Amino acid sequence: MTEAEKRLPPKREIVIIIAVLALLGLLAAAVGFSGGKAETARVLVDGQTVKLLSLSADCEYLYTGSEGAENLIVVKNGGVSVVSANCRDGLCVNQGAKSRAGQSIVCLPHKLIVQLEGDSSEVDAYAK
Amino acid sequence: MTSRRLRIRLPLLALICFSLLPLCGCGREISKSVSTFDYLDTIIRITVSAGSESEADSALSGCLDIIRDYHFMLDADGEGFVGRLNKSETVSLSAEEKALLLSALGMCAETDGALDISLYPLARLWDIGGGNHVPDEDEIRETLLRCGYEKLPPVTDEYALPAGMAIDLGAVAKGYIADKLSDYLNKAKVKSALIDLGGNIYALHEKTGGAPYRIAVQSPSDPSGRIAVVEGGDVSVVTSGTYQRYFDKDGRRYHHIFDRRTGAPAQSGLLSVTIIAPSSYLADCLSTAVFVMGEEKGAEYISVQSGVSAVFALEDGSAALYTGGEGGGYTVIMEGGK
Repeated sequence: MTEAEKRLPPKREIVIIIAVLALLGLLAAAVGFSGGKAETARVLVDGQTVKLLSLSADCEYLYTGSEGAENLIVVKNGGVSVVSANCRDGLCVNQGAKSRAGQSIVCLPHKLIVQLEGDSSEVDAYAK
Repeated sequence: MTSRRLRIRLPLLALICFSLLPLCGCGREISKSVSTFDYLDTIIRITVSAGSESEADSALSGCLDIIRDYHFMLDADGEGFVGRLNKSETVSLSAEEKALLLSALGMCAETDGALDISLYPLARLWDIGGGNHVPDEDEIRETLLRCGYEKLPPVTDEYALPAGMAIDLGAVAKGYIADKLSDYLNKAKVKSALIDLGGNIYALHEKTGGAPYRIAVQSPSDPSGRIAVVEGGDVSVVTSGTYQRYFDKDGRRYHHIFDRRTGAPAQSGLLSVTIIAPSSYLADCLSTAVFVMGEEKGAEYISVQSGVSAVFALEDGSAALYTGGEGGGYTVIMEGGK
């Protein structure tokens, strides 16, 4: 073994160090640099997840619950909204389209929440 | 050969361990949440961080007990003292009920009726979010005769309302309960907590790692936007606005915050008022009162409230921050209008 080979760490160790640094970089990017845009909308009914919707592509989901409860949830241009519902107050439709992580749309009569998830370090709650 | 490998591997091992440290919760903090639709006509979410899972569980179940008790106590149509008063019963008030009534009536007087807990007959008449009735002038005039906190008799141990009158503590209840929860969680020695009673927020202490809580103020005109972010701990953020409970009829919007001078939803040029204060009860009272006052009078009122700030969302799409002097221990970062 030459002197140079003795001083340098073996290849395997270099690969591990690079892998760890790359992992750290990815983590930092995930935590630090995302702009609070939500990535998914979780639909919960009475605390149970009934559907996960990706916000990256436009789509529709019709929630049908007991006693004919219906909420039509639409993903469009990275935002999510309840466009129609047969609840008694219609407040879920009034809440409009949301696209930031941490926001939510609530339908009290149907015990339904559309929870936007993504970068959780952005804000902890919305006062409204 | 062996010693050379060791020399290289030790720092490598240390590097891996340190890099994973933030991920493994080595500070022994467990964070747990609960959410429920069962109380206060809203969605309630509470998150606590505690030293162990059992501590967190017991803190959360203690919170739910408190919320349940106050839900029944304060429901305007329920079996608690408010509901019984509204059914024209004579009620023997507990010390706490008496103190709360006195305090709420004090806030009505201090805000010159901008907050008025006696407008329940008016709320029933309009039934915003229910029957959505636009009453005529006669109906409003007749109903206003049965409204006005100053028509209520002085609070006594045996208390009853004058015939036809009814009270609603809905404008102060969530704030009152949030303060009770924060007292309880403080005594239960949780490390931090976030109390969200349908958008009425209280942040206890600071997050794991010492960072402040960040609470966004919802934009009233852009459902996906925010107009400010509040950073801090031991602080409450409460919003009153036209954009949550309302109905539209004949091109006009009717919302749920009434002005006793007109008997109709307040038209103050504001879309929402957010109050930031150390007490959630105070923030709740003032968000309604300042909303009814409007920008000019509301800003003047806030300017003498120490530790209190207000974010106004105006009808022209802009937003304004007013601060009432020293104290508070929080920062409000404005993010422009819309």
